Amino acid sequence: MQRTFSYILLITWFFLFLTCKSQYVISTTENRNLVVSDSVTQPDSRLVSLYLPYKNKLEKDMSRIIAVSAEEMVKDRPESNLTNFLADLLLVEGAKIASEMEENIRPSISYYNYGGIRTFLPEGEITIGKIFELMPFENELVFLKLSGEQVLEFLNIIAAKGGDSVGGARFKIAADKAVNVEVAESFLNENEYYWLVTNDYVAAGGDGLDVFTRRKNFVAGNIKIRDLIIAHLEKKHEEGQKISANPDGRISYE
Amino acid sequence: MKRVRKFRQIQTGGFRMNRRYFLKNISAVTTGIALGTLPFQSFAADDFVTITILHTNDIHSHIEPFEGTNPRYAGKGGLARISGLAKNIRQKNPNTLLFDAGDIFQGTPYFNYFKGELILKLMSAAGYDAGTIGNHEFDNGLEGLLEPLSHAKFPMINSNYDFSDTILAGKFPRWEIFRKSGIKVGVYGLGVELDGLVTKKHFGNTVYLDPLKVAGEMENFLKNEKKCDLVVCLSHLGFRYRDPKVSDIIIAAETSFTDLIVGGHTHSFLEEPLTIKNKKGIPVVVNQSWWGGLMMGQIDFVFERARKNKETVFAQNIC
Repeated sequence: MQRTFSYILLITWFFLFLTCKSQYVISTTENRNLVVSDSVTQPDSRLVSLYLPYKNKLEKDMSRIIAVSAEEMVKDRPESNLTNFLADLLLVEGAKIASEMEENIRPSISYYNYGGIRTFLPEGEITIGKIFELMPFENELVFLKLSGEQVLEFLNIIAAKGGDSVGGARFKIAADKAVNVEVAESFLNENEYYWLVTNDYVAAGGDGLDVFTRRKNFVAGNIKIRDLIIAHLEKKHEEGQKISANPDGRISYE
Repeated sequence: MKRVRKFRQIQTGGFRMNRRYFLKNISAVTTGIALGTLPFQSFAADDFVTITILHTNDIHSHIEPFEGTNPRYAGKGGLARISGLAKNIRQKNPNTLLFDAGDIFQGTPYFNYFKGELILKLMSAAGYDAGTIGNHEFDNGLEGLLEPLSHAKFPMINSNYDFSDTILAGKFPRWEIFRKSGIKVGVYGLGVELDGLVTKKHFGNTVYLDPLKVAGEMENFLKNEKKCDLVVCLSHLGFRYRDPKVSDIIIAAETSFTDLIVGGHTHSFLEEPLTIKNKKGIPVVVNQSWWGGLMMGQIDFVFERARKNKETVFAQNIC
């Protein structure tokens, strides 16, 4: 009897010891949290080994060369080789896509927002990765039908910004307004309608382009702008053409 | 660099207090053994249960740490580090839950290339207990959300998207209960209004239900019917807005049984989690931990086991 009691005591003691121990562990959480404040957490190597094959595949794909640029292209205002290159590409490729659609769309102006152009293109070889850097967003191509008046309103915003990535139109900036506006090589007619090709981000009113939300018509192109650029560059590359663009005075100060 | 700030201690001393209680109890136990008697109170050392909630939001497929020269981002983040941090904390306190508040898709070529598959695989390996649906989860349409879902070994909880007329019907639980050392943690999820944020063709016939109304139903269900001790809301509504648009702050103020709102969407950088009063004047913790996996929130709820009352709340953002 005495012995059984001793055993019970011993077992209880053990049990308590164990619970005490786990309790102690919890109390160290406090210390650890304080330590975390000035130490770097060790990455979980299991996770790294999980994504490493994906990383390798990605890096291999991203390093594929899809174009050769004749010169370094950098964005600048009021215009630049890079902003012009992208806007002109959008206009050409947009017109191709539009021609395959049922709607009677002939885009005469193109626009890509300056803020959405995220890097420059170096002279020489251009990789897919570079295009992902240039356009990390999943923006899609859209067509907007605008009145001449709305086109002017849009270009006035661009003029106030000091220029941007615009194709198909030429104008001068005077006192933060667009003047002498030409679209498709004739003066802008405020009573006419024009189709603009751009991305869905600004079409939804992004970057202060509220005017685009008041458009007369909207048609989705259902293609990512990045995919469009990649396809365009690949084609040029296959044809052995280098890419280039120049400032051509489409946007200038009066 | 990591920064830890304790933001709230209802009882002075917090954990230390808890430990002091424990030490006091230890001496009581020792005395009890010495006297050959074993009062039940001596088990008081085991009376405290700490539930640790760890959370991220708006990871945006930032699987690797940030590169580049930005002093605020460069070298920070990365899912491997989130996983390491969570596992360390979980090792010390097994009563730990790791949650995410949505927008895991979109942001790096990892998503463009491998869609949702890789991020869901990695989050599963990192031990995430639950996630919720952010607006960017619709970026590849309903199919783009359905297809990688089999790689998620954790539930993505949403209570206010009605998917019944879509291919996602029955794929997302409206609520989930986690049991940790006898404590029942009930979780529901709220998604942001999709119209105007997501292309219509990408969300199809998904019906958005009023988050505030749904929150009321869910918390009442989890607290009163399911008898949960802790009710957590995983929200992708956004922290707060200037206009009256529904946000985490509004949900917190207008609900009665929700204890914690783990938020996302607005990429809010909070130095410390916020505590505000709910409809009944009871404190509710609202937190959001920046974006891109740059930060992890930690909220510790200390329960006294016997009464299952929340004793203390500690919360911090780790980055």
